[in-house]
Formats: sequence, C-alpha cells, structure tokens
Amino acid sequence: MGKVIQFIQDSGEGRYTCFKTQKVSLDTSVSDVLTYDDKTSSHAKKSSFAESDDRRVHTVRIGDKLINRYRPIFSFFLDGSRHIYKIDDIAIGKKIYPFLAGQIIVGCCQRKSRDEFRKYAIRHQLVLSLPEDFNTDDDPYFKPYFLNELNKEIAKLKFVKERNISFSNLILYKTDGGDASESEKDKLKNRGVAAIQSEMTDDEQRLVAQLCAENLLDDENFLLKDGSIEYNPRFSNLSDAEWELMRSNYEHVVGVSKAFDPDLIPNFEGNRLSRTICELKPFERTKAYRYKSEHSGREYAIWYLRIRNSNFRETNFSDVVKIEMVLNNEGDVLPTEKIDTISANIIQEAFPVCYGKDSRWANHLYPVFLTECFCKANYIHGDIFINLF
Amino acid sequence: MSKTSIIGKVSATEKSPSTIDDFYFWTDKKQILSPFDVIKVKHEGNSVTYGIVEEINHVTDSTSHFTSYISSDFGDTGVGIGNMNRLGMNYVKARVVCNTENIYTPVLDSQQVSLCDEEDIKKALGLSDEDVKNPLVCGYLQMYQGEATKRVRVVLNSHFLVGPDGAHINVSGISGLAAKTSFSMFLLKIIQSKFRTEDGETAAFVFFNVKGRDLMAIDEPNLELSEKDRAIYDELGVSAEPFTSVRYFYPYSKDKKAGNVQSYADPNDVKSQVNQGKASCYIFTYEDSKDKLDLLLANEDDSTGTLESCVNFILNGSGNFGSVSKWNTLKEQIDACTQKGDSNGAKNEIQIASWRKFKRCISKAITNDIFANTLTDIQCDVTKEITEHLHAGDVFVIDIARLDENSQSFVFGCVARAIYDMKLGADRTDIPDKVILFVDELNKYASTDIPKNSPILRQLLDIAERGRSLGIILFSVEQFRSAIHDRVKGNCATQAYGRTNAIEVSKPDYRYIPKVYQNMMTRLSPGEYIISNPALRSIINIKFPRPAYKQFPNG
Repeated sequence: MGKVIQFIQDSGEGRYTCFKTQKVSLDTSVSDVLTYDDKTSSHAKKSSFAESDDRRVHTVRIGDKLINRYRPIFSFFLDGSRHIYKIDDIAIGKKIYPFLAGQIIVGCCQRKSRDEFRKYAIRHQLVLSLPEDFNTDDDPYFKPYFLNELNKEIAKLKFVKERNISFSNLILYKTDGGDASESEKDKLKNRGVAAIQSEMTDDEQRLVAQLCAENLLDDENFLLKDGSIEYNPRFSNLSDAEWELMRSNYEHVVGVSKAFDPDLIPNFEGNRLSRTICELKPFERTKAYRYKSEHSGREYAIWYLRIRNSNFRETNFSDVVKIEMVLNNEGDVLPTEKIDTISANIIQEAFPVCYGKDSRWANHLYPVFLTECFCKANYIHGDIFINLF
Repeated sequence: MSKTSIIGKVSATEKSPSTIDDFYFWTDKKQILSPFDVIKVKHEGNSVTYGIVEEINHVTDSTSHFTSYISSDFGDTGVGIGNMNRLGMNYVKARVVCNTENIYTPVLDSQQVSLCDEEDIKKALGLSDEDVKNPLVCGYLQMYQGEATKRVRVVLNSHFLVGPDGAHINVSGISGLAAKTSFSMFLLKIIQSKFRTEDGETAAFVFFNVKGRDLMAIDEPNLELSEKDRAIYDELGVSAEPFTSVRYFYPYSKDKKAGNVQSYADPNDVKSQVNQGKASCYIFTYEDSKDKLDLLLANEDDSTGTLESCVNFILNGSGNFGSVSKWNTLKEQIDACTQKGDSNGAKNEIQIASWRKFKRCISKAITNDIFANTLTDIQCDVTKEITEHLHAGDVFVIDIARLDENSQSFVFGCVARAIYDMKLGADRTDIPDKVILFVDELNKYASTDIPKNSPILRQLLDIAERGRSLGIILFSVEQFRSAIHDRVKGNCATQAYGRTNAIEVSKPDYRYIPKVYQNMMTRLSPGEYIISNPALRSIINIKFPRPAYKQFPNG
C-alpha cells in the first residue's frame, strides 16, 4: 500500500516535501485533546437556578416512585469517537508542519424495548488534517478536487476498492495566531487534532439534526448524548448559518458527562459546588443551575446526579454524572418535574454495568456504553488505515 | 440457495476460527435452536455448506459473574432492574456435514446462516432420493421450533441396515425410558413389510421375548394407538398394522393351571393362540439336544476345559453314556460318575471333582420342564421348527421371559445355532435370504463378563462377524452398550442410542460423540433415538411413533 503520501508529493509538483517519518497514533496521549474539551469556568459569583422550583436547597432526592416509572424516556443514544494519527511531517515552503489523519465515527443507537437495541445511524469519515498552507493558491475548489483525485488514486488498490474506502474530508488547520506560550511544534499538532475533533462534534450535530428532521425526538423519546452538548463555534468546521440552525435541535437532547470539572459553576450561595457534589447521597441531585457558555453565548441548565446506591465507590465523584440541557432562550427555566424525570431515567440507565470492561463503569450508562462499543467496532483497523499512506 | 429464514452470521475469530470441520455463528438470543438442527451457509463457488448444530452458548458483555452481581444493583434479586437488559446473543458451534460442490475450505466470516427447508435437510444428511437407494423408513426428524418446525422422513439405504453393505443393529438405552423394544419392533415391522411387498430378497424373523409378555401379541393391533401416532405412520408412508405370519413358541410347563406354559402371558390368550394354530409349546428332548449340552454351561467359567471334557465324554458315548436317551438317565449316569469306585471308565479319564462340578452346573438346569423326555403332538422342538419351517416373511417369537437364566441361555444358544445351521446348509430350497434375529438383553449372552470360551458368545461373534455374508442379521438390544463385547458391537453397522445415564456416557464407547450429544443422551424422551449409520453423513436424532401392535403396559 502506501499511496497517499506519494500522491501528495506527486500532485504537489514540488510544492510539498514529505519526510516519511514514523506514523504514530495520538490517541494514547490524552493531554493533546483536553484543551479543546475544557470549558471555561463561570465567572459568575453566584449561580441562578435553571429550574422552576426555586426553593433554596442544595440537593433534591429523586423519589423511588419516579425511578421505577414504567416507560423509559430515552430512546436514542449518541456517541462520537475518533482515532487520530500523525502520519508525517510535510514541508511547505520553508516551514514544516505535522500531517495528521483520522477516522471519525459518530453513531446513534435506538432502543425500542428492553431487549431491542439497534443501530439508528452511523457516520464514518476518514479525514486528512493538513496546514492551511497546503492550499498554496487559496483555491476555493482545491478541497473537492484534491479529494476526488486522491480517492481515485487509492481506489487503484484492490482492497480499498472492494471495501469502498475513501477520504471524505480534507481539513486545513490554521497555522498562525493563538497562544504564544505553546511551543510551535505542539501548537500545530494540537491544531491539527482540534480540527479533526471539531469535525467529529460537527458530525454529532448533523446526526442530531437528522433525528429532528425525521421527527423522532419528542417528550416521550429523548436523545441521550455522551458528553457535553456545549459546542464551541470556534471549533467547528460548519458555516455560521449551519451552526445557528443546528442549535435549535436540542430541546429533547440531554448531555451526560462522566468526567467533569466540579467547580465549573458556584452554587446559589456563591460557594463551591464541588462540595455539594461530593456529598451527594445516592439518587440525589444538585439543583439545576444556569450556565452561560462564553464560547457560544448560549445558556444551559446543568445539574449533577449520583446514580448509584452503593458504598463501594472508588472516589466521591465515581458515580456522579453531570447532566446538561440547552435553555432555548436567555432566562428560561426547565420544569423541575422534567429535571426529576430525566434524573430518574438516568438512574435507571445505570444498569446493567460495564464493570470489568471500562474503568469508568460507575459513571457509565449502559446504553451509552453500548453505543460507544458499536462506534468503536466500526473502525477500520489502525494498521490498515496507516498503510493507506 | 432456496429462500429460508436467515438466523445469523458466521463469526470467525482468532480464538474460534472456522475450520474444515466446524464453524461458529451468532444468532439472536431468542432464536430457538437445538442440537442436531441443520443450518446452511452460502460458500465459495456458488455452493452451500450444511452444518449441524452442536453447541449453543449464550453470552453477554458481562466480563464476570461479579459484573452480573453488580448489575443487579449489588445483589437485588428483583426483576427489571434498569431500563434495558444486558446485551447478549447466542453463538452456536456447527459441524460441517457437507458442501454441495465438495468445497471444504472453511466457511467465511459474516456469511449469512439460514434455517433449511425439507429438501435442504435431506441433502445435508444424505437422505435425499438421489442419495438413498433401497429406501427403508427408520423414523422421522423434527427440526426447529414454532412456525419453522420441519418434520422430515428418515429413509436409510436398507443395504446398510440389513446387508449386504452393512448389517446388524445395536440398540442401547436404560430400561423403561429408552423404548428400545418399541424402536426395534418399529424397524422390524417396516423391514417385514418391505421384504414382503418389494421384489427381490426375502426375510424371516426370530424374536426372543425376554420380559413380561411384551412381544406375545405382536400380530394383534394396538387399539390404543392415538390418532396423532396414526397420522405419523401415514406421514411416513408406513402402515400402522401389526406383524403378520407370526408364530409364538412358549416354554412347556407341566403345570396345567398355567396352561402348560411357563410364560407371563395370560393362559387364556395362549390357549386362544394355540387354537388358532399360531402358538406351540417347545421342549428339548435329550436325543435331539445332546449335541447342545455345552450351551447349558455357557455361563460357567471353564478355563481348564474340564466341563468341556465332560461334555465331549458324553457326546462320544463313552462309558455308559452311549445308551442314554433321557435327561433323567443322563442325571443318573452323571451321578454315577461322581461316585468313588465307579467302573464305567470315566473316572480314569476325568477326575471325580470335575464330574461333580459338571453335575452341579447341569443338574439344576435340566430340572426345568422344557427338558422333557418325549416330544408329543402338542409340543414342538423349536430348533427343528426353525430349520424346517421358517419361511420368508415368518416371524417366530420365542418366549423365554419366565425361564431361569441358564435355560434362557440354552434356548437362545439352540435357536442361534439352528439359524446358523439352516443358513449354512439345510436341505431346503426356500430358505429365506435373510434371517433377522432380535435379541433383547444382549448383555446376558455377549457381555464383557461372559467367559471367553462361552459357546453362546462364540455363536454370537460368528453371527456378528460372518452373519452379514450369510444373511443372518442381529438386532441386539441392551441397557448399557459399554458392557457388550467389543467385537459384537463393533460389527454392528447401525448404532441406536436411547436415553442413558451420565455414568454410561462417560465410558470410552461414547468418546467419539460430541459432549453436547452425550449430555443429550441423558435427556432423550421415550421415542427418541440418536442413530449412527454408515450411509448417514452425521449422527441424527430421530423419533418414531408408538408401536402398532398390542401393548401390555403392566407387563
């Protein structure tokens, strides 16, 4: 194999030089991506409630009756995953840039009954992440033309043709500006990674849009998304118009994060919320607080919930999840009953457990775990992917 | 590949790859399959590979039982914890039975696996019309569950069942639950019909009734046969009629109250059978049976050959034995030989101790009423009846159920020898081409514990080894196959395994049978058998209807 690098070099007609350095996976190094996942802590001194019940209490116990409610409200589960590789170093002009590539998978599964868990949709993309300078002439038609030619070239490989493997996107990361404290080398690599990560979050939003377009989400059928639903328009490859359109799709979407910054927002008294989270009793939640994203300017209702009734937790945060919902308009509040119902459902989603398969089992929700497994099962093997280059 | 429902896909992994012999496939956890079900997979060269289900496993993504425990909210035994059940599926191990184009490279991963239609099942197991010449119905297969249920007639090539290509059947299974006799009779009835209706070879039958009065009314219809069973007979294309041309032979008894027979049969029934001319009492006179004296000693260990010397001494007419013509006189003469100072010459050749042993063994046996002095018109010599009057299509049923063990062996030995002698050269032109000998409780005559020099064992070995070419076919039945002499069961082309117990299936005899089938043998229902036959591509699980002849449920 090994067609892509040669093609890039040949198609550049002397504009690019590839060094054919070692190809490595960047997935093991978590620090590369954390900077893009992090949210800025709220600057507010006190947080206001984002739920209709405005009693000034720290926690709310979810009643057993509600937890044992017959019909679950979550019907769809969404997760995104990506594998990123540093493929090579590419010299354009006098500068050398990292050449990255990745596989992005965004999957959504539908649950119809206790035993029926099926794929609803999956988006699988192979993408290249190269510096802006790669499009040396700033040609607006460069990307589609390049991809078309590249796919034609790799399709000459029988294996690739039989399996219909093709690259769907060329993402060009910015090469100037940004944080001066970062080393130049890491900065470029991180930007390449961020560009692929952004494509994944865009794909997630596209899939949510697809669910909404098909009218599958309503009060009886919510979508549970793994991770935060606070997207940063700065890290999106979507156009502004597309971005805005998609933000209206989140009325029936709940984001659940396993790992979170407990001090993202203060409580209503202006104290650290982390203490309340830490002391949550089983099936207790914090009040839902309003959080305004500095990136997008949108407001979210955020609350924390302890999902297990167990004395065996590893840390005090082991079985607490962060739950987010979008507030459509500034100042909106969510009905407390809705928050409690969602919380009760999330408690129910905590069983069965993925103990033994995932170290984060205590925070994991089983259908989310399954969706994650489904996404990962659809990757093209890393060795095959790397050998395309 | 004909259109049938797809139930899963082949899964070939590093640890469990597809091989030439077997492969794995996954199915939905609610898909009901059973061992012996046949499935098919599309394979290279536009061919179809057929597999037979061997093992079915249910797995979930739970890594340990501990995970399951935690998933039940740390030991909550209530139902419906959480909003969904753990992801699970069944994976099935299937053994390759054949490929339509003889392509035996392993089936490929992700190929669809389907259930089979009737034609497929026949093709897979070698039961299709093209595969089976000289068809003989042996029962039916029932496959799949619910709407997908298929019932397929099992037809075997009779040449592999009763010769010339393969002969002898061994049926094993525990008492009461295995329905060994019923299965044997089902087959024998079909063989009788086949040889009667089809041109070509002829067959006659000799059955031993060893328990109750099981076989003492096989020519009378089973009035309690259910409609369901009748429908199965119809479906199989077999008549639900009892045996025909049956003659019953009862052991003679002096007891008039018992109707002059030693039998579990009702004396009135016996009388009625006698009146209809289809039953007689048998006896053995000394004159006609002296050459079979050795058979009375069949169960005695005679490693030094002393008993055999005594028998030879008598047969040669040495001493005063030349003038003996009655059992009583024989006893007196043997008595004399055991006395000190006897002058008949025997003492010089055979030690008194040997005569005493001989007397001990033989005296008790010949006290039975079947050892009579004179053959009258109401009695018969069963061996003579066989050699002279056993014709094509005839069924001779010899009742030995009420005889003591030694006498049973003697009768069995005499009959086996008579059949053998008839086939080897009786002065008749109408000798049936095949004589099928049905012997229940084979362990009494050919178990591993029987002394090696037993004349009955030798006779049975001869039948097992040479019977196929002579046209003597052995239908043997026993509880525990492992207890039977290797050369007897080894020569049986067809093996039928009924329900048995766990200890039995752990014996080396069952080593070649996959574990799951071994376990199945301990759960088989009455009327269900696992069959192995050289004409079949795999061992199969067959069923058969209840017997069409009169049953005596209480013995």
